Amino acid sequence: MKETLVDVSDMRLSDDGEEVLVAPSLGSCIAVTLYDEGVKAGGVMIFMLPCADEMAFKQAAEFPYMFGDTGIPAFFEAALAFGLDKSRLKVVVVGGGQMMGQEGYDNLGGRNVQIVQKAIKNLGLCASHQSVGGRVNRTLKLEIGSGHAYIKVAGQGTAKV
Amino acid sequence: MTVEQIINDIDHLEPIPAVANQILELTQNPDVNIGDVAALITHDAAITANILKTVNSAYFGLKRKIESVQDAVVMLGLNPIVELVFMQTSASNLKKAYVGYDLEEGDLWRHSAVSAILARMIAQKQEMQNVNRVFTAALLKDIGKVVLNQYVRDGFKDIQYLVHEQHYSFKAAEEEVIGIGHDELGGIVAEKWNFSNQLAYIIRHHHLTDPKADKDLETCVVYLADVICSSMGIGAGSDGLAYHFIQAVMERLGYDQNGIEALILAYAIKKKEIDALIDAY
Repeated sequence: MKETLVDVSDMRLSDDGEEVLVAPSLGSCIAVTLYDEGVKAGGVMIFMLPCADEMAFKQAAEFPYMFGDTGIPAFFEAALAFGLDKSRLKVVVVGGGQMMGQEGYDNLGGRNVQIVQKAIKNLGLCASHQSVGGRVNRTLKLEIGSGHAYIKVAGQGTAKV
Repeated sequence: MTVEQIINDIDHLEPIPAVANQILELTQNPDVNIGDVAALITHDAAITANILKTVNSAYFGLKRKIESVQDAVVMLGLNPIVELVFMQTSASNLKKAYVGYDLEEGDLWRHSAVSAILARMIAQKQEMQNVNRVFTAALLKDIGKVVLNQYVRDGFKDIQYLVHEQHYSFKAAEEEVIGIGHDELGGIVAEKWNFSNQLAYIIRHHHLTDPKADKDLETCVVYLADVICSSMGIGAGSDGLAYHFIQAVMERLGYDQNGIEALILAYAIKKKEIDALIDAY
């Protein structure tokens, strides 16, 4: 198995059964995985900010994966072009943490969670598993060979989904 | 183990060379002579070599090659040069893995350097006079973790219990289990290294535990940079988000949620260059 780090504001798709895609230390950022059991291929995208639109960010085309609202549809299109089938997609959403005392505020982690849920729904998809919010850091690993996602919550162990 | 023993462990750190301190002190004076600073830097061959290598890297994107510290100061100004001095002299302590905090090699370094760059961006927006001091404080705010690491590892289960079951902040749990937090220990390190009182104060109170700390703008800037960096998970370990978020500090510095996101965006656009700078150490 070889581990490949996926950078924040970027995505990676793979059909290499030996590859594990890693989204480390997510904090308020969110990693989305798409996986198709039929073709044994999938990918991970990590965005850090919710909306390019709201920020009137003119360079959104240059950095599509920086934002949830532009990144998730672009990732979905890239996954279909890579050969994944929408009807078989397994979607996992991880991240969107926040600090103590931030819960009542318009915080970044919470806004990222809202945007990912909205974007997935708009694409006609449904998350099969999500580990979001709370005041914890998470690391996600997606095994391309098996389609298993491993979610490590800092200081609390790892869950396989 | 006693707190005195832990404090004695500070002597195992690689100390910041006195010349770095002298450079920082010189640059606190608005009438500083640039030539004096360049001359002081040139006395240290390792710092000089590193500055010349770094100012000619893609991060600065200069069109012509810089061949002396004097040139570098003239071309870039004093602040970036002072930042490079402290990055070079801090990296060896901060780059290692610190398993007590679940930090792999390079994690604490990345967290510290990005915090410092964010602190500088905030300080510049505030038009603060001592941008260098704010940058340096943010860079070294977690130096106490380097010393406390092995004790956090030994007491990890108890700390985790307090954080996750009793809703302690991580540093409050350090105090409860070990007897001292990494912030207080960082302040003691700063004093042992003869940092200025203000620099030691910011490091000691970067989690705003002193009731007066939120009146000190420089400490607030370092706090906010730390919060943003930790929130994004940059080089964050097991303590990552287990700290208090204080909305009033954001407001005091004139930031709302949009302002924070704009700051993150400014960092994100330059992330590749910033990563290259950090990875060069």
